[in-house]
Amino acid sequence: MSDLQVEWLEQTLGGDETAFANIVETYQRPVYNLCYRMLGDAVEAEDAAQETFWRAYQALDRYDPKRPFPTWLLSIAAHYCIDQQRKRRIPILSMDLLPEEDAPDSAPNPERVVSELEETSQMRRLLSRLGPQDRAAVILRYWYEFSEEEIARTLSLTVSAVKSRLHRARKELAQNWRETQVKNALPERRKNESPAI
Amino acid sequence: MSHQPFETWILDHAGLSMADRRALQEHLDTCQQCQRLQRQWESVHQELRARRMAAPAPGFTQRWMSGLAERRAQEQRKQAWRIFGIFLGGSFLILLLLAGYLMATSSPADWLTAAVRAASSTAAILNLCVYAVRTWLSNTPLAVNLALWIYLMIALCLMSLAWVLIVWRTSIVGVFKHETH
Repeated sequence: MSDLQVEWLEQTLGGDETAFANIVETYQRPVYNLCYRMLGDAVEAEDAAQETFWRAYQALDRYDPKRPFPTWLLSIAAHYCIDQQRKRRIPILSMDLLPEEDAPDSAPNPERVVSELEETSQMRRLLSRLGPQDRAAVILRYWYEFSEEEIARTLSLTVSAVKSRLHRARKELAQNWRETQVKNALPERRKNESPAI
Repeated sequence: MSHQPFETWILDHAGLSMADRRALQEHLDTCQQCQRLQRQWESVHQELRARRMAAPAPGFTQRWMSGLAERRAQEQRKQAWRIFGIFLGGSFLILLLLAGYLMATSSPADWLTAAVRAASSTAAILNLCVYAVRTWLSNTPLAVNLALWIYLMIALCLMSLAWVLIVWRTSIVGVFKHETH
């Protein structure tokens, strides 16, 4: 965490709201991404990210400066999303609400865009089949490159629990991969079938 | 046929020694199930490595700031209702205790006598007050009365202001808690 961010935190604790707005501006993307990957819906992710920053703002006086601030923030987001998942139990996936994504190349290429969207929705479907905590562990591991210890701290689990959750999640992802591939291929094949037969 | 520890090794190569890798390869050469798992996991892993960070719609911070104002107003309303509830509950409890005490120490006839006595003595006191005010007004100059009246009004206004301020501060305690640091 930079000195400037430490200063923003101190200013927020001193009652300066605009200082916390800088924190929101800085961390909006990682927080939103976690919420989006967890919930699979852009609108719900926006609400969850807003709620995360509100909770962080309220609990700022309890924040331990020894702990990395992004980890603390993501921990709030992860716990909130896990609770939301448990409340609704059945994941609802909206395919129409795709958020902006980082594209490696900005050149217009419709085929590439379509293929990326297919991959994104496929990954989203795969993630939606995992349990909330397993999903959070996978997201923190692969999107944020957290170590097993960091995941354990973020999700309030033991390191061995994280290891077993990651193992289970990887196995499930691998097993479900083929199913989603087959499901994706079927409509495509039907579309190309001759109507005369 | 046991697929452990090969299954674990397929899903996480980290920390595997050369001997482990050789053993895994030997197992993969003979086990179709593990071969399939490895192929599927490699596809998933490739997808995971190509992950992209989703971004919120533009104006996220502005939305948060306006949400903050709304949430604060909500918290203030909640706090005000909480205080109102505490006062109402407290008053009700005091009334209940008083009624219990009266029921235990006296009879309804005693209450009636006491009420009549209190009403008549209140009326007598009021009459005395009116008489005292009239005597005061007739015996003192108008300027003194006017000054006293203004003084009393100012004192009343100050006390009302102090009361409003106290209620306002109390109703938002906890909402602006960061300001106290």
